[in-house]
Amino acid sequence: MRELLALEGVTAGYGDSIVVEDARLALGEGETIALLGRNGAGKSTLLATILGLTRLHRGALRWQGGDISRAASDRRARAGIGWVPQERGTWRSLSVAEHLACVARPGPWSIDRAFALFPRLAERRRHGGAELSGGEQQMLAIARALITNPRLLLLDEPMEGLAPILVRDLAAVLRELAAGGAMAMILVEQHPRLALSLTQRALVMERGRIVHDGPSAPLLAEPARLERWLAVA
Amino acid sequence: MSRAPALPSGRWHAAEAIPWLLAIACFFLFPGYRVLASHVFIAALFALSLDLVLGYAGILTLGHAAFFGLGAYTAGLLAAHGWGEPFSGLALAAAVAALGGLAVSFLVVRGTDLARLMVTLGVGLLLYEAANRAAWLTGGVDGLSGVAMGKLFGVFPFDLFGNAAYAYTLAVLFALFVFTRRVAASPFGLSLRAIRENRARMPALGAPVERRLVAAFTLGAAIAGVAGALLAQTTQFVGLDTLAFHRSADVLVMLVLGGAGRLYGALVGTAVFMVAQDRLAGIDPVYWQFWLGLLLVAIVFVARGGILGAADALRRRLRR
Repeated sequence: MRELLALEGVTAGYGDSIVVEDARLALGEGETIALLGRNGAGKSTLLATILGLTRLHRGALRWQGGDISRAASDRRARAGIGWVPQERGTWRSLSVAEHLACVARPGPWSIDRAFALFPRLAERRRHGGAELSGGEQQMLAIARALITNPRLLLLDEPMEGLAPILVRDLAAVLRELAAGGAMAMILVEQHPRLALSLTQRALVMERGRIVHDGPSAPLLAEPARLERWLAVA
Repeated sequence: MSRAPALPSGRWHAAEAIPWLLAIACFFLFPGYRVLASHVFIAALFALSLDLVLGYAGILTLGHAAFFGLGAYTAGLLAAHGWGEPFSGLALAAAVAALGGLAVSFLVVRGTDLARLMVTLGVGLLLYEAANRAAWLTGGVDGLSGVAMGKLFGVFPFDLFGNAAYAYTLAVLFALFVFTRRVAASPFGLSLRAIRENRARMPALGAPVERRLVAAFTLGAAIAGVAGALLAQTTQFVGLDTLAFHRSADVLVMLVLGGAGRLYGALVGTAVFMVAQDRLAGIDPVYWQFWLGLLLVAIVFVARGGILGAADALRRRLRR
């Protein structure tokens, strides 16, 4: 598997504070990772660091072999890192179709393909971001990231606050994307079983450090180990 | 079922023909007002350029007249020194204003709203004072005279009744409106609106925010320069007031009155402002600004999004 992204001893945070410490990670093309951990363990900050939205104190990031430690966020995004932020970040006055047209870049994902993946969005294509339900906003955030045709998709708690039926639908979509194998994925998720069932590999973070890195399937079979890392102490 | 605000999309709506047909009809309906009308068209183009900067890119400015004046003096000086061909004059005026806009844009894109207001205000005052001091070039307070325009297409002279000016300014306004409309509906225009709403989100989606804002500010300056050049060419005179602060303030008022960020707001706001100014000044020559101020306060408080915003809200309520 060719290396897509590598973190080498990355220590990062906001301002002078340090949230992520000495993170080491190598991610191959098309590989899917579940990023687990308690609230405040540094999962979102690790994603933000990959995107260049935090302050890098130490260490380096490599993308397809090249150093991107100092690259601006927009360059990283154009190089192929897509992001579905936790707070979704849809634009109030832009319609669904405009959200997609605004950021689209050439590649296998076209606006039509995004609409085929989320038929609900196709129905709402002329509606403004402010008029969408939480589930629709989440679909739009994912579609908007896909339309930039990333090599790596970062998903920050995409299921948060969604009704169970929507969680099931969205999980099916993510499984489909993961099975495609063309796009790597890092999934931050509060439901560990769901995240593990969707991914090949799992990382567990504790107080800003990566404390476990291994295949997802065994963890799914050992709920007791998971419990120890994730239970509220 | 509610819809996203009625912003111009890529496709033209039949109703969009109305303002242009009205503008053509006014030529025949009000022959005595052709000079005033050409001033309205010029102001509308100026407001349109501000809409790109403020309404789309969300950059607050109190010095947009700097680029109007740069364009006006460029076209005026060209004509005063023997280059009277109008269209090439417009192009050069646009180029000079764009260069000015590009230089200023680096000062504004990084700042906060307050910093932007101060920087643009400062640049406006600076340029005004520079033009005042450089009387050998600009004519100072007496203005630049001796602007000798050539004929349009080498055939139609600029006449005192404003016939050529009417057609010329309306045609340039229309052409640049079509252009601006295309820009606004393009991914670039959409990204400006997205930046205005949530600037922090854009870099992670691949948009270089500062470069986009620089481009929008520069483009807005270029179009403002064309508006200034039109005034210089059709009146064959350039006064210091092309650079004056009140021109920056007036254009802001016109845009907010009509509704920022929707292109047609620039046209509607300018027409209402200038006709109201003309009428109110006739009815109440001393206190017309009082009535204008009242109208403005009422619009901002009662109808968010200006006249067109109010029209949208009304239409939505009727449909329900």
